[in-house]
Amino acid sequence: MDLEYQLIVPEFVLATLATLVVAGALIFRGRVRQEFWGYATAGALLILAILTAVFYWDTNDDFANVLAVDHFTVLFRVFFLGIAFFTVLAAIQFAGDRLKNHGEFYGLILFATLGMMLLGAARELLTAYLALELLSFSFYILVGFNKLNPFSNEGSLKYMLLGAFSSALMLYGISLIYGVTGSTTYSAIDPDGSGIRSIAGQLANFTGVGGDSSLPDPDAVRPGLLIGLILITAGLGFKVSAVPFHQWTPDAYQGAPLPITAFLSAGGKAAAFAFFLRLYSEAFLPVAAEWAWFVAILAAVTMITGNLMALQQTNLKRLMAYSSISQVGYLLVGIVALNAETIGQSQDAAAALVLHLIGYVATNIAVFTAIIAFYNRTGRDDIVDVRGLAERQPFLAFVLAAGLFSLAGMPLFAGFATKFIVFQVAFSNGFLWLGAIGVTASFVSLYYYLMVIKQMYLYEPEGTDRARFRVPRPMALAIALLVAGVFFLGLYPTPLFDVINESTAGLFQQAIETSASAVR
Amino acid sequence: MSSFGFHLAFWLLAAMTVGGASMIIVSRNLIHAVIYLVISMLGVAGLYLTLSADFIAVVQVLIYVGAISVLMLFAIMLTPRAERNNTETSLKLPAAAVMVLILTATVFVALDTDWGAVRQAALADQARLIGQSLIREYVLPFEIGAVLLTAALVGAIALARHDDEDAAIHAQSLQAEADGTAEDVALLTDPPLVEVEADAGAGEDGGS
Repeated sequence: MDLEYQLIVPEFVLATLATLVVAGALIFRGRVRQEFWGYATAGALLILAILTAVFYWDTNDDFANVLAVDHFTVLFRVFFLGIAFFTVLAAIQFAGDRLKNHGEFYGLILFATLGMMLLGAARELLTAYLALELLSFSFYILVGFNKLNPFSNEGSLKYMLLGAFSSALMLYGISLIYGVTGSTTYSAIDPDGSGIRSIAGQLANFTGVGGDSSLPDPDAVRPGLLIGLILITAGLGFKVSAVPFHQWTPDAYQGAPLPITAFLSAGGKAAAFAFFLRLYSEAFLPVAAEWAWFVAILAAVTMITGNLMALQQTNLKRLMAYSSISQVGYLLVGIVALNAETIGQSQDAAAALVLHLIGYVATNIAVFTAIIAFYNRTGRDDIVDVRGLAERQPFLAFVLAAGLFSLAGMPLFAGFATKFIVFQVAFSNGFLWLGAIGVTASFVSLYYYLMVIKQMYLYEPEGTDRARFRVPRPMALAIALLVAGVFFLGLYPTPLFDVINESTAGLFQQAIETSASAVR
Repeated sequence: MSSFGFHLAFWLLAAMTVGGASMIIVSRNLIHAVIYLVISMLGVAGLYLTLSADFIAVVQVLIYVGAISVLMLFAIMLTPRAERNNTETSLKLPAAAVMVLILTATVFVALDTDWGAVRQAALADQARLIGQSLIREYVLPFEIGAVLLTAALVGAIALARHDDEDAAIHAQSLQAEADGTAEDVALLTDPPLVEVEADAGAGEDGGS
């Protein structure tokens, strides 16, 4: 076999960059301004994202059957690099004021991004697991990076302990799936030619689509398969913070340095869902009926609990934590809807999920960047502290209002269009009740988002510091770009949707081939 | 493979593994718990041997029994207040109920599932095969592992490094934790670092 290293050049460049930033900040300590490392990292990320998009978009190959380099991978590569770019831009002033060890800080952000990129591309369970651990370890450290703040320590420790527990659950699930199917590869695009046993291929045999009589009958493997699926879903549930596995989320979000909270809520979730989607569509689609019911319960409980808990929050970071939990519920609806009658319907669900993910992430980074700019000035993050922000900094108030409206799913904004498509897919794929819960939950969420907006617009500023203030130019530019993106997605999602549709089509290649051969 | 000796070895090793694991939970002394963990992990190494996985068995002994347990012992001994014994909790009964449920489910799954897909003859030359696959099919996961260790190492140093100027704040936050006023310290560390240091100095002056 030949190892085509040219396929994974962006990953190698990113790993090198991370090491260079860590080492460079140590070597040039005191001789280079601290901000330099932030701007250098951001610039390198932007260049890498553009080059990746230009050079890899037309690739459709895989690296030694462990890493797929297809449209889906490239889309998520660019997406993660973009998330990291905006996070670093938002972090520069914050890190300069409040954090030490800048080289390690930006280096770990790059390592986490590398983990995300590998996770979205992996099509083999061990590779995916290692990538997930790379991502999680970087986050454990970054959450506790403000090491003099007890909340940061507490959040990091809780996140690490529950993260290790969830990894153990997932590993156990992986071992059971391996025991049932004898493979850790998601799917082999050419089952006959390559001769590689794959999870999807074996599972398709169990359901009788492929028709290989040498295998045990489906009833004999069901217990192991079911428990394996449940354990993997539970482990993933921890990583994406679905209820009832969400307990670490508010503490980690509150304790982490604010840019890391933004990164965790955007990048961490996006990577886990890229993995979730690829695994459940490429590998587990043949047994969709086995897992759809408990993922549906998870989605329903997450939407309901996340929104109800958010109602009682007084801290902005904790509010955003519960808001992100409820968003995970909507995203899980997309996973559930993969269980459809035809492969075309499953494909719609995957595309809707990715579209909502991108809309959610863009909105969330915009909101968090605005909160960071506010925090840089005031050092406070309670909901009552944004009182009268419309007077002091109308631009930030507008951005926060637009972002929160988008998260609530108001028309005009990204949140409406993308959520609408997700629920539409859920309805048309036969999950009426789940869509109904989602729509109701969205209405409830409007209440707590409006509470923040009310504080900003209806009250006068209070306290000693009522002066207007300026947002640094790079940060303002980043926020403006993101908000423009949110509006664009809300008004005209078609171009992005077409790109996503093209990239998710590859996930169902084997499913289509298998069903075609069954018809023959 | 169905000889009497094989069955005897399996049941003895299983008893060692499960017995050691149960003693971890029962024992109230953390050091003892680690010793029981070593016994349990040795049992697992033996089980790997009965499965003809000799390389994995050796690695299990070297890494888990050797390195990791010693690391745990060091961590316990170097951490103040860590050697204190576990206290009684009121969650015993619910925990036992959950354990029985999990045990039933696991046993059911193990017995009722047809594990045909992996029922294959033992491989010869395992170390060579593992080594080859690590530089061929699985070279990428292997490299991800290397990057993972680098990231963890960099992070551990960043977190554990002791900065002199932090000492005052650190002492204060430990004191505040002891007094149960940790929230004040959080507020204190929230403003930019420059001001924190000024505040920390002021706090010390006020205290003395």
